[in-house]
Amino acid sequence: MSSDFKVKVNDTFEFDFNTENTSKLDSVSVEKNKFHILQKNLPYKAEIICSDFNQKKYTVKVNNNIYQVAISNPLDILIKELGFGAGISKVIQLLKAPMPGLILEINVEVGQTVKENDNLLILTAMKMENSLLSPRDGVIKSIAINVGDSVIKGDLLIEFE
Amino acid sequence: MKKILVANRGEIAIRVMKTAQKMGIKTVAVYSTADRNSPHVKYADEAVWIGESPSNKSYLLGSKIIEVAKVLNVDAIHPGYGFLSENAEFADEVEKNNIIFIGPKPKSIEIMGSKLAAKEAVLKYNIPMVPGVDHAIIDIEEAKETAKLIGFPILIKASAGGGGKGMRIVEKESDFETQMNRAISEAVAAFGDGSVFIEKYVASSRHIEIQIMADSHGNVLYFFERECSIQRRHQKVIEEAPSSVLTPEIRKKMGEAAVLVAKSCDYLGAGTVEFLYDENDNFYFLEMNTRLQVEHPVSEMISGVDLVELQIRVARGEALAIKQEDLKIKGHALELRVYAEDCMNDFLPSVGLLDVYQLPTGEGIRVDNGFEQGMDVPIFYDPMLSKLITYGKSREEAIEIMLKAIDKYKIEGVETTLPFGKFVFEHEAFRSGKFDTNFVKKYYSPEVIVDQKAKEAEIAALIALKQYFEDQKIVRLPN
Amino acid sequence: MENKIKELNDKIALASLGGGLKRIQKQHEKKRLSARERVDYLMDEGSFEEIGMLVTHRTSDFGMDKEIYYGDGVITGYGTINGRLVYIFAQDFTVFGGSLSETHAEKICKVMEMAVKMGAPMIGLNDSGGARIQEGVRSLGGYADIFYRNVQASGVIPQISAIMGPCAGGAVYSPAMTDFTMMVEGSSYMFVTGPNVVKAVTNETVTSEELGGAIAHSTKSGVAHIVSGNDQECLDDLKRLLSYLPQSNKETPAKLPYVLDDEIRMKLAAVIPESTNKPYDMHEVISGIIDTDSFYEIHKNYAENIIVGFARLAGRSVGIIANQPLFLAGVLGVRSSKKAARFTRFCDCFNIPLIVLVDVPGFLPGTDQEWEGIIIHGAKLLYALSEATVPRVTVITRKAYGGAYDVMNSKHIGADMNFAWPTAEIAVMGAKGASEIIFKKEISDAEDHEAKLLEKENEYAELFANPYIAAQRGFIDEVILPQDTRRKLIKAFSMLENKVSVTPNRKHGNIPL
Repeated sequence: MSSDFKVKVNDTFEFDFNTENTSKLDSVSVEKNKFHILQKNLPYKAEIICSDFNQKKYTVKVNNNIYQVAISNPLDILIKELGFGAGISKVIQLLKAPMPGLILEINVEVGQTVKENDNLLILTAMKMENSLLSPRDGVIKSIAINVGDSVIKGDLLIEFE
Repeated sequence: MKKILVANRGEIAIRVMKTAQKMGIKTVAVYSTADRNSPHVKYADEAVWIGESPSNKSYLLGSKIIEVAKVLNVDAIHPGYGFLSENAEFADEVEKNNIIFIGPKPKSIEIMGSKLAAKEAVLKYNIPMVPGVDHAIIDIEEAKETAKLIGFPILIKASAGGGGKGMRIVEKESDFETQMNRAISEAVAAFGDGSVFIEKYVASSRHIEIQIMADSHGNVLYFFERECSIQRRHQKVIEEAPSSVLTPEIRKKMGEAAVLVAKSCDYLGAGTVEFLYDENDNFYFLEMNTRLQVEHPVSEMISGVDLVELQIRVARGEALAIKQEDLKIKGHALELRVYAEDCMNDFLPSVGLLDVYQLPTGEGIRVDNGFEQGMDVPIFYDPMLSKLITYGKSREEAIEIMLKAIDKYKIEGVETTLPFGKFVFEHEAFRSGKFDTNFVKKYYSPEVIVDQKAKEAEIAALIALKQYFEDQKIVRLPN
Repeated sequence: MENKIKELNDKIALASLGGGLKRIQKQHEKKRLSARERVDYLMDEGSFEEIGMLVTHRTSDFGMDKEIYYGDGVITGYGTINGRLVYIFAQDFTVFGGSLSETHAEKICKVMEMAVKMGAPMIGLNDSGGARIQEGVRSLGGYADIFYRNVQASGVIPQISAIMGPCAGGAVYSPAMTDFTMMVEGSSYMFVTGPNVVKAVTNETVTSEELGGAIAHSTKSGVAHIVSGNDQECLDDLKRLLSYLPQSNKETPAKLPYVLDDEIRMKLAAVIPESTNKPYDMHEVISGIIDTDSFYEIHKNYAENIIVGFARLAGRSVGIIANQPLFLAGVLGVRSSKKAARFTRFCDCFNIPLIVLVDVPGFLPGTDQEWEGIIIHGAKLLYALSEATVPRVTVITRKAYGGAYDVMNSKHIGADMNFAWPTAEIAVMGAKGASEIIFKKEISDAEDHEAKLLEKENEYAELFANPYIAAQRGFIDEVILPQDTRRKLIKAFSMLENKVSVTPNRKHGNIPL
């Protein structure tokens, strides 16, 4: 049972190898971590400079050139194929008042594009001016309140597209 | 002469200062902001800052350099190569300020600086030249007729151009007019001088040049030839001495022709006469470079002289002690210019930090070097790191030593022309001596190097994977 | 002999496939890794030793004896994560939906016992449809066996649960009793009773995701401490969490190498706004104190008015509790008190020192707070901090009013070092409120009530809205410049490294739960 490994070298070259390939390699250990290889009748000198077994990364010097090798086992390949991208960001539609208070300032307009953590409005409560920051990137669909309005907890303030 | 100021940087500054030191002469280095930590600054006896990093704010400021020279009581200025070395005005200013300019007289620089003026000066000495027109083209129709006479393909050359710049090949008559117009406008843009002339284009040729040295007592010697046909984008990368094709007779003829060229402009000091050498063993005068050239070391190795020392002696007014008959070629020398360029990416400059920079050493290896490990490769200047020169009793031996030296030369952090050099020195066409200026075009493509790398990468991958399988067997315990 | 070896290898091969390739593929289609793949990814290369691979169930009711799978739906064993011994169970959804049977539970109990004996963390990757109905009461018994061991292990070894699929019914109690619960967004859910029963009983229509998905539990209920985007992230987050914890309660967490420098953080000097009513992000203060990029937040989206999490201070693992002025002005409420209290007790169990950053104007008023029992929950935090014997250092950045001052690790409840910034306001209440009460007569007598109030407010603030009265009494050990905070903390925790505290001899106290 030869499992397939993807081996990437210097982030440029990629090879598909398995145990068959490595057993076929004509290499002789000259010293610890130093090898003499014959491939297609051409000789090569190889030396393992650095090895990180856990990360599956090796630094190999071949004929005086240094190569960074990264090995992916079948599980790594599977994970890549499954396409675990970055975490899905919560798409929040409605911004509601987290507490009762007074609307002191509104810093956005309908139709405005905002980025996550932009200051949308200021709600005074608990004797504090609380800046309500945007929970996401998006476009303001509607603003349900006006400056000077008093709101209670849970009141709708802003809706996103 | 007690003190010399070297108006240059990098490896050539160090090279010149080495000889000056040998002769007991004190040295002054000049540097720009970017070069504060450069080896040439540390090597000199005195060092002066002359301006901001861009060349035109530092190394090209002739008046500033002369000022520094005066303040420090410098006896002579050596211009190196590039920068102000072929600037007739600078040479003139230096002399006017009672400082010796280690090089030719301003007049010689002027004459040889213009290809057309050079051809004119040389005309009376019966030196073979490429069939062409000896004056600037004014009438395009007339030029077209001459071109037809010479025979296509022809080469349009800018008179004020050099170093491979300002040349256009015209394959057929129908292209002539458009190419001519473009050549003229390009020449105006690049050199401020739109004068162009035409020559026969010699397709398969070699670039062979002769090193000469003239003193103020009428002696002019030639120090044999250098073969410089391995070029990319008309810039030399590999040079060797002697050439593998010249017979002693032709060598003598070329040498004597070069001496005449030097005499034609009343030359003083070190200079190089460039010839075109075609497949029928004919040679044609191209131009003269009125300075010490980058590749001078190979000539030094085979003739056993120190050219910079001779330059200084000549500048001091001494007569050359050697006779032409005494000069003999011994052995063979090769030079590889180590540029910080990515030979897999059209030789574009490769910027970065020299994480690892270790010079090769050993019998027959000479490195004219301008960098140290840990240095940044500045973007303001020519990306040449060093010159790797090897010498052997024979051409084969020199090549073998060169290949070993390339392997021993450790550079990490930037891409260099070392892999390219390896490719050339291993190539059958080069080894056999049967090559011309089309070598790079004909045989080289980045794929060749990539291919080589791919083979090695595969080995690296297999070795790593094999080791990984071995490592898997080792018992691992929690720490 | 050869036959025997083949027999063994065949069994191993079969066991490795769990419920079969087809079912594994289905998992992949749902963007989930199989149980074995999860263990492989989590553990250091080649370190995993499986225990009980060939265990099978013993039921014959309902024709169960015809369907046998080696491993019985759970992979158990031990291995190393970044070189540290850990024990793990990973439920295999491809075998009977990962449902729990008597033998399945036995396997889990076995590794849990080993973890306690060897003093190493216990990790559970939950992915199960619940009890195996065919086993009847036997599976309920199995659950209970696990619950009991969760409790026996609680506070002895760190227990981390990752919910990577369904976890319903009684099964949820095990993760609930472990120290941290992690969930995977979109592919995991937890609830005691599912949407079907909910609909039947209360007529509420709700999806599994809405009812008990990762978002619901990380924002509403606080059951989930950490939410990750996918299986891989979840396992990476788990590894990271583990790095802050010790192997067991007998050890302190491993210290990372760190070279000390001048440790001044000038950016802290500009964090506090000029106006006392303007908020700032306490995360900035945290990042100005701890080692770069070392903050691991717990309960990020729950009770956002308080921040809790792990971090490193000069390589040393620490727990951070900090009021967040950006949310509800940083007041303490029911949820924030619970969040901070449980975190405190976890750190105390496992010898993780605490940094408490204070900017709290008081407790959140309101009927829902009072009727939810803010009294009890606030007391919970007060109790947890008072009880904690790990080194605890407080830094008051701005407000510390009223009872909340006492609660937030004040000197009086046993904090080891108490620092305050010059901007600290340690007072019984805010200047405005205090003035209204103290100078009531003067204000009502005055012509311009507003102006008089403002005048008195400023007077009061001058006198009392500062750290000096507390400093004079020694309630604050030192008033420090914000940029020096990190230096001071590093030195304090180094000094406190070998702290020994004596607790009165009792079975356990009676923390208001």
